[in-house]
This record gives sequence, structure tokens and C-alpha cells, in this order.
Amino acid sequence: MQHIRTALGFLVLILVTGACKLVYHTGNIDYHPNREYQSIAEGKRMAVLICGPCHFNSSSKDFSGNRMYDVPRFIGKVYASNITQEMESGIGKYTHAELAYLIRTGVSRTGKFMPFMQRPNLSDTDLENIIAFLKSDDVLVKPNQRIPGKTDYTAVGKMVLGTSKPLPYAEKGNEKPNNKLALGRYLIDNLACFHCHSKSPLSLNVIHPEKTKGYMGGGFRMRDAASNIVRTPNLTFHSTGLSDWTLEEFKRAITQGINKENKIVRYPMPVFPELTDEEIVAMYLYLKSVPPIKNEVK
Amino acid sequence: MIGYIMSGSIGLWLTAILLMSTLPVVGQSVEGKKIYRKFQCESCHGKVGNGLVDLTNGFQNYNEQKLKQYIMNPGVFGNTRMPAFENLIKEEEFNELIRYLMGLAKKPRSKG
Repeated sequence: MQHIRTALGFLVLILVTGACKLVYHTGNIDYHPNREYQSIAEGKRMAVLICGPCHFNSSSKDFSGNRMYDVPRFIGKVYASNITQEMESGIGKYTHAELAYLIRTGVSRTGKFMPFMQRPNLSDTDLENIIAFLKSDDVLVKPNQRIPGKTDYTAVGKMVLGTSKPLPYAEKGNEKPNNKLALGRYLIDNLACFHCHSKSPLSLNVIHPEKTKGYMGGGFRMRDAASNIVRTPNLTFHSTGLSDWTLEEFKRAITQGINKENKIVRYPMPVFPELTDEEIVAMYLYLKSVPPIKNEVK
Repeated sequence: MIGYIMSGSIGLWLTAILLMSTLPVVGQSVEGKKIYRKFQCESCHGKVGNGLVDLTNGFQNYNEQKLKQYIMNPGVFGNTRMPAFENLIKEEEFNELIRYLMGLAKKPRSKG
């Protein structure tokens, strides 16, 4: 009886895994960047903030990719790709349109879907600037043949990833907000803070981030580069979260990597020294406005 | 009989491995390793320096003093990703940590 149950379990797993689609057609899209608004310098700043945490390699000091140590083991061994201008191992073959499609939907030019890549709410200006930077001759994206490693999802990983589907490509993005709270929300969304600081990155609402379960309440179990378990902190302004954090303490933690208790902010949390003071204030005020969640994370 | 011999030798091997893992590696500072762990260096650099940011290739052009300055304030050396430890680590802890870090570099393989 036990053997039959095990065999049935495997059969269900194989069927479900087989049904999980991870490759999609990219289709032809119409992408006409407004060249007047393109700023490579701003594109570089935004790319370092958004793409850098996963794609920056500290040995080669460029965007040639990295092992993602923080990905739970049951998902598999995952590598952030080389996104330098290299033709074979990088993204040198991508057209501007294909890059726009990749960033908005998370689908590569070969049809591979990467759910954590998608930024459907990224403004047109930021998207254009980032693409202008990725196509530039900047040292961060100078062709590098390095192959960071081969991503190998487990059957469970494929199944989990298969549950999220790419969103349709939106020809027109949003405007970048000027209002402080809206800018804070925009940054928490596009810097993917809510991916890790919510209940689970496996159930994200990428269109309406605040509808994600346990939004910014932390508690998700990740791993650092030594395989130690790291639970993401609660970033809501509850007494179990940031309620007694000053703006200065918040700024120090996210720009210098040192927290209120004078301890370092552990990987996988990146540091963001490129954020402006205005952006940090916006994020702080926005987090203050998020409904507080009681979640003591240890 | 073979099983008995094998289990005996495995037992010996396990004891040897256990002993080796508890003994300090020549050239490495045990105290330094504790400090490495205490200040969460392993969070990025891995358990033995081979993590996300690899330390096992040695520190070319860095003597102990320069490495200490780097850890105290990496921003001065162009590293804006690593926290500055100047007000976090005590002087005596620094010395042990540097000794440990210097010992992490892979030893060159002897020829022949």
C-alpha cells in the first residue's frame, strides 16, 4: 500500500511538473523609446539599484552575474545571468525592444520566464534610461565572457515557478511619481523590497504589491552565503518592526548596511548607497503609512 | 570479517576527521574565525571565505595594515557595498581577524 502511495505521489509530481510552463513566446512588440528622456547616468543609477543586487559580481566588478545563495534549496541552484554586452554569455544580442519586454514581463528573448525579474510598474522614463545604460559602453556592462553558472531548478522549484505566469506586455508604463508617498511605494515595488519582506516571495502580487500576503511584514526564510538561515525583518511600523526606528537609523541601514543595534545588515539584503535623500525619506514615509503587521521575527 | 575491518577503519577515519575539524588549521587564527562569525563576515563571504565575495584568492597588494584599513572603511577603496567596520570591531579583534583572513587564501599546490 505504501509503495502504491509513493508511486502515485511521484506520478502526480511528474504530471504537475510537466504542466508547469516556464517557456513563453515573446512575440513582437512595438518599442519606441523617447530619446529625449534618455539619461545613461540615471539609467546606471537605477540599474545598480534594481539589477545590481543580483547581477553585480564583486570579483569582476561588473554585471556578469552571480550565484543566488538566498534562494531556498528546495527551489534549486539559481544564478543571476550575465547582463553585460557580451554576445553569447551576456545580453549583447538583445534589441532595445527585447530588453523592454524582459524587464516588464520577466520573459527573455528565448522565452524563459523569470518571475522575479518582472517590473510591470516601472516608469517609461526609468525603463528607457536603464535600457540606454545596458546598451552603453559603461564599464559595468562591458562585454565579459564569464558564465556565472547554470541554473538548475528542482522539480519542486519548477512546480513553484510554474504557478506564476507572465503578465501581458504593457506598451505604456506609468509616470514616475513626484509625490513622496507614491515615490516611496514605487521604490519599494521596483527595488523589490516587498519580494523578500512579505510573507512569501512565491505569492507576490506584482501589479498591486500591497495586496501581497503579509506585505512588508517580513518573516520569510532565506539563506546567506554560509547557508545560515536569515529571516527577513518586519518593515512595517509595528512595535515588532520599525516603529522605533528614526529616519537616520533607517537611512544608515539601507545605505551603509548597519542597523539600529550597530550590527551589520546581513546578505541577502543589499545596501543602496545610490539612493538620494529624497528617495530615502519617501520610502520611510511610505513604510510608515503601510498597515502595521504584528510579526516578531527572530 | 571484511565488514568488521571496514567499519573499524571508517570509525578511525571519522575520529580523525572529527579531531581535525576541531583543531586549528596551521596559520589560521581560531579567535579570528570567531570574530569572522561574530561580525557576520560569513554572511557574504561564506563559511571559509568562498562565498558570494571570494576571499580565497588572497589579498594581492594588501599587507595586514592595508587590509585592516580596507575593512575599517571599504568606501575609501571604492567598495560601497561592504559596511564600514571602524566603529564596530575592537582593535584587538581586528588583529585576530586579519590573521584569520590572511590564512584563508588557497595554498599553492606543490609540484611533483
